[in-house]
Amino acid sequence: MQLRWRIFLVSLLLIMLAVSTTATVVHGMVFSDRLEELTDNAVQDHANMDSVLQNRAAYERLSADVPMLDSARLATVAALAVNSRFSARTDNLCAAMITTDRLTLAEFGEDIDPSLFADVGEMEYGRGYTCKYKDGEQCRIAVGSRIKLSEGDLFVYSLYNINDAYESYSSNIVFIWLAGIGLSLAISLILFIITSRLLRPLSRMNTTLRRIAGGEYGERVAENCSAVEMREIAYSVNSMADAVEESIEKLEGVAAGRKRYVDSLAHEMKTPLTSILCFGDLLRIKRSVSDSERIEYAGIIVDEAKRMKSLSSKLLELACADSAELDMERTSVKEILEEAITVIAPPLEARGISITYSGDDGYIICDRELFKSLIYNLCDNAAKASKSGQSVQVRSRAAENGMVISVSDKGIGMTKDVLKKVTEPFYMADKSRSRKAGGAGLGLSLCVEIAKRHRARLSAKSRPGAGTSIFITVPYADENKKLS
Amino acid sequence: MARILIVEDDENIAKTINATLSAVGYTSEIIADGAAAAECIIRDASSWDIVLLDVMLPGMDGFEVMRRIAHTGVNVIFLTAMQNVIDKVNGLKLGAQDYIVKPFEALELLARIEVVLRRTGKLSSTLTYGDIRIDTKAHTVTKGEKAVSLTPKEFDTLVFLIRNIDIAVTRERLLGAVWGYEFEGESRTVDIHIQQIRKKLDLHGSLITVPKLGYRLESR
Repeated sequence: MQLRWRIFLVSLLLIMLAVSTTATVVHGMVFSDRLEELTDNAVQDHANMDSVLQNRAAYERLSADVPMLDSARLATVAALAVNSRFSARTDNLCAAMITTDRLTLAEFGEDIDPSLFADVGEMEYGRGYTCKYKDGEQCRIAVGSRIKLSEGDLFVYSLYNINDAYESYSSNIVFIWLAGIGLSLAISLILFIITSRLLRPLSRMNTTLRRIAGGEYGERVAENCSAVEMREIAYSVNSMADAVEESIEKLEGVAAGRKRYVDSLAHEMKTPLTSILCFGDLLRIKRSVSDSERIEYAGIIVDEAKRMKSLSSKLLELACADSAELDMERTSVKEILEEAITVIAPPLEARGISITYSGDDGYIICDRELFKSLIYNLCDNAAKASKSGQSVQVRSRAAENGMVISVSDKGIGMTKDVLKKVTEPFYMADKSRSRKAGGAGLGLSLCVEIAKRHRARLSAKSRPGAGTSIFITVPYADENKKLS
Repeated sequence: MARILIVEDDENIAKTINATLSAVGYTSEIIADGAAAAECIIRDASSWDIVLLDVMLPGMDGFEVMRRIAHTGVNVIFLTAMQNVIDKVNGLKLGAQDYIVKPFEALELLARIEVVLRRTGKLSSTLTYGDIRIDTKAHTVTKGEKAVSLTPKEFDTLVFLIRNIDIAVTRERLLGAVWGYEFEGESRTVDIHIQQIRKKLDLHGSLITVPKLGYRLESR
């Protein structure tokens, strides 16, 4: 059930209960006050009849000059008293009766059942006893009293009609219930409208959330709701959507990167294969192949096979750097750099490029072979960017946060855009030139991977025409004993 | 013979294709850069019968080049290392005639080129080999002045051999080209047809068997 309907129904029930109970209780109190008033009036009225009867009896005794009236005279007096009550048209009085303990002296109006006052013998003189009863549709107050005359005790009864009071009570109670229901309905309706209004931002939010769940990660919830709670929810929802969007973008970036990697790998592997296959096929199917053609075809096949070899070994190194167990040991930077340069210097010198080393010594923790491979790759890159006659400088410097090793060349350099992409696998700043130099476009990706395994940071500075410097910052061995 | 433009940035692949094409007598030119190729084609589309277009090109990729030159109506065959279906569909949707996935064999490239040339009517309908004249439209073969009757498969085999003159053709390749790629016949079928062709046209000296490979029709 919708929240607003639930609120509507619950409030309707509760308000109805509250209004009706209150009204019924209040009305009941008013009614009992009214009954009391009616009873008081009846007793008062009855007392009047009592005194009329006594006066009349005294008057008759005096005028007849007898000490005691006979029963016939007494009956006349009683009738006179009753008639005087009715001729006075007392409100509500509907019956009156005067009896001795044995016979009825006078009666008027409805029958009165003296047994209502069963204990008449116990009645005190001059005091009205009341009793209320309902006989079918008729509601009555009966009043009874005992009078002491010289002729003996008289019992006086009167009956008062209180139908009106009861009727107005029951008709009022119906009215009160109806009014209560109406009022509750009205209040609940107002509540319903208010909650609907308050909840409207919630349904808007829901629509937006569904859209976000459906893949429109850029959607945002409006934060201009009137209720503070709603604003807070909207804010939280938007923060969540921001986080989701960010993660999705990251994931998409990763997926795109992987696709680029696979595409590039396919291209890099299939290009040499195509040449090898095609030239091999040509050598096989042509009727006659001239010497120069054979040398050219075979030369290309060998070149391309070399390229495949370099690519596959680089890929293997990359996979190893990524996953192999490292053999970490405490190493002197100076020692390992000099070792690496001894190996790389001869092939570079054969290309007319000299390599120099200078700088501070310090201890780092590294896998010697992998770390040397990092240096080889950087020196190789530097040499590829240089012309014959230029030099590559390797330096080391003890800095605050670790040893900084730099490999600099004075070669062609790179623009900022190129610099951003150089660590992407298979990226080559100048394709044809790197291929001629035997590059597969994996060198720097490999360097990044190796640096990552050593918790080292790679950074680069380059200007087209002025050369490139690559900096590796490796943490000191003594501050980083965790690396093992 | 047909003129073919090779748009390929890898020098060795371009050389490979060039050598393959020249082996059957096509003339070709190489352009390594996408933008330059697009410019060259737009300038004079009619001088090229087919453009072999690499997808991964520096500067402007093959798809972009295709978009630029689509209006010229030039026949394009894509060369690519990517072999997923979406790339293939993309290439063909842009209006390319065919799509060759690297690495490919020389003969496959030639067969694809031939299909495109035939489909677009750029292949001459008469072929001659010595005193043998073939009309591919009328489906007739004459040797000297005498008409020779060949079955349809023999006819197709002969045409394929003449079009790939001096090139050794494997039985599988012949099966693929003449009987269709789905044909699951034996290479024996090819041998029987070759014997028939030899007999009917007296090609005993020039339609030779290349051991372990197939057959070659040698030019005289």
